[in-house]
Amino acid sequence: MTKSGVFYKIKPNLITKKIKKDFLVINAETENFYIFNETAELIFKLLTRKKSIQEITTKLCNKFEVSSQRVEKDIRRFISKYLNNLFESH
Amino acid sequence: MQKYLSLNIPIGEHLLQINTTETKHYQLLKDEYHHFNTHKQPLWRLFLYSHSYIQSKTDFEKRNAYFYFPTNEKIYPSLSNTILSYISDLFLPENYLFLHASAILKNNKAIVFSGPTGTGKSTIAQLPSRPIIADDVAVIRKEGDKFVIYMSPFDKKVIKHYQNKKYEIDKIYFINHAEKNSVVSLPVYQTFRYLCYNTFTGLILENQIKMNKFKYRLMFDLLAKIPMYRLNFNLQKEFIAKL
Repeated sequence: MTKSGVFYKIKPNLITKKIKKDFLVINAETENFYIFNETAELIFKLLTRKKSIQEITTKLCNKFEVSSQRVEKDIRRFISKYLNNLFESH
Repeated sequence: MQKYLSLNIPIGEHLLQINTTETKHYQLLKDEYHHFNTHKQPLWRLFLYSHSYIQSKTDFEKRNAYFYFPTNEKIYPSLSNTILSYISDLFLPENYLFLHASAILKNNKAIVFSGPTGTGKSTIAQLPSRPIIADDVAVIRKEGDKFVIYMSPFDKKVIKHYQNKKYEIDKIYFINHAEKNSVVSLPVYQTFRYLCYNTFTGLILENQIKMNKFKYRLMFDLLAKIPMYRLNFNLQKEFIAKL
């Protein structure tokens, strides 16, 4: 996906699992462990499908009925928070 | 040429052969682990040597594992426990997970009680009417989409009546020493933390990322499949009988 011409993809050593409402992610290299809620899970999955921030914003706005500005801000915050452990930029 | 003393130990469907030149090592493991005579090909050959500090070297291609252990009197009695973490790592790719736990049978299904030493695992395993399948080391394996537990070849109380049998796992309790007895449902991050804390693992130094992948996939699947609870326990057996 792109953010000002930057591409992201998930790191190769991630293991994921959906357990009831929780989405579990662990990096087998750093052993950092995360549990995502439904929204974070959706952003993570869309990022792995190489969707643009705009596309992800539209999908989330349709699903949760929130403003596109707020959603875009949340997506950018998500990427910057997990960039080092879950994503690689190119 | 060195003459090895060998022990064949059944790990579920597989076989581990431990070889040592030290009579002292051999005698200790022989007394602690279930072993038998066989010409069957082992999955892993583990060679145990004396050394000034603990070290391991693993040849994944030839399936030969080398474990170095001090003969120092202070550390020596813990050999059988320390080596377990290494054996557990060797068997991860075959979907085995060794959990610090006791296990008993109820209606032909296993109830697993996991926790650090002193929390009451053995007290629970002493319930007279329930057969014990593990006292301290539970040999758990993912087979298809099910999790089973094999009788532990590593527990003295179990090897007296050892049979190479497996049972489906009904539930896992993580024991917590408490004044009042209760059973509590846990959020997934807490059960995962308990699982990590009580799993024997972490002594293979090579291919660590690959080994972690095996380990965490198994743990995630176990979390998804088997109900897990925290058991606040004051060591009164009567409470366990009621569970």
